[in-house]
Amino acid sequence: MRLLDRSAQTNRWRHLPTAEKLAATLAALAVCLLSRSPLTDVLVLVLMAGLTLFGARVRAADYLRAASLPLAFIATGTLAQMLVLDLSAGWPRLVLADASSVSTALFFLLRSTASISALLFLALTTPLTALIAWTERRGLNPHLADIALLMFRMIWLLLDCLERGEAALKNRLGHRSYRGILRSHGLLLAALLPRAFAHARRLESGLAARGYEGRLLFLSAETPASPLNLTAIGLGFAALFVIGFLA
Amino acid sequence: MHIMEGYLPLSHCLGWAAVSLPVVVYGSRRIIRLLNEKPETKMLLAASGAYVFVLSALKIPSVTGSCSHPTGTGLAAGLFGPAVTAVLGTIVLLFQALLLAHGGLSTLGANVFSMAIAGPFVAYGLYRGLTGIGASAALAIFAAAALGDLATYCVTALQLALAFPDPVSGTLGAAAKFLAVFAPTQVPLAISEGLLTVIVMNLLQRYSADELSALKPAVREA
Repeated sequence: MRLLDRSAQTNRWRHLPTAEKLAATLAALAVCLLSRSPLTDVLVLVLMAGLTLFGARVRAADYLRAASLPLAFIATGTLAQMLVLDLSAGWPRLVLADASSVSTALFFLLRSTASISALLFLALTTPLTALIAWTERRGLNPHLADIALLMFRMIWLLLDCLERGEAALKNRLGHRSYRGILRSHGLLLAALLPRAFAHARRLESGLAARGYEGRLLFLSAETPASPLNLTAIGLGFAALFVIGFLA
Repeated sequence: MHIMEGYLPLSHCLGWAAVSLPVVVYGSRRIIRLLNEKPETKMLLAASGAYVFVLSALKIPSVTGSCSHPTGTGLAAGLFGPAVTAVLGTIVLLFQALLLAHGGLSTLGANVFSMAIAGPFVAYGLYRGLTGIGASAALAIFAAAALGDLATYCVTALQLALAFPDPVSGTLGAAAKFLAVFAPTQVPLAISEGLLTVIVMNLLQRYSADELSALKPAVREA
């Protein structure tokens, strides 16, 4: 989790307009979902991975680590798609599906991989705070935007508490057995809620002392999106879709 | 059990988003009304949301020897109520997609339905139903958390089965297939999550009565 956030905060395209990066991601996802051509998916995969690695200069090791978890899940799902429930033997058993089902499963594997490259482009180049601020500017209720923003900031504090607590319990042999792990985790989670509320109360007191009236306002140094760039992004992905359609 | 980015057809992505949206909008409107009346509750709700997110970062052991994270639906529904959980769960799922690459933007509607709506509502309904007929609190919490987790898993299997029906046995066969593939990890995990939730709720009731009572008005009014 820290890996994606660190990369989002430090990559070369950190300060590019959020709207442009979001537009590229959504356009790539739309092309993947609308297209029936494997070529389109390959083009999207190469383009989005290329933009992330060579445009935003995200480290390849970070990219692979971030991609490993979703790809493992997709592999499991693809395996399920490639198997068929066979009842001919009198009891249910899983057997390999026919060639057409296997080819459909592989198509979805490719499409999901391309879609994940689009998601990773956004996740690795754009801080979550910038996305929340953008959604608020586009009409998300300010209270909900504030809750999301505060959640994001509190997550890191709680995660630190969680990791410290887990290490302490581990060092005191709290992870010696299945029962011990459950009890240790129970103690940890029960201790975490009061800490979360204590953080919330301290924050509330601090804000009240600074004239808090129900809204949290932040300055943003982000440049506005260029209509020309947004049009170019739209046309570029439309061209990808057409290439896949014609191929 | 998140459905990954790009894994569902477009019509299913839109369909699940349309099903989830009214519940999330309803929960959001109640939260907004509460915050207009009591702005100080904002910090409490944000802390609750962060807690739900961190819950899912904790690895718990599965009986089969593997390790996975709890969904937190039972605990969240018990602490914050299903309407608040639907909204906080949606934000958490969005964060998981963008901070962990876990889930996705196109599959957000489907994931929200299984993890932020179906799971919490099943867990909350079971808890209220079981305590209503006089079951012990520990049994009600265990059943709510374990079956809430299993409901999430069954709904996800059904979502995948609707998208990818089995060529021989159709949607039901596909659902059985997806359930069979994920059952070895999900069933023990649900039992572990049920046991963990009983321990957490017992400890919270014993040592954190103030925090639980602070949550009550927010949950009731939201």
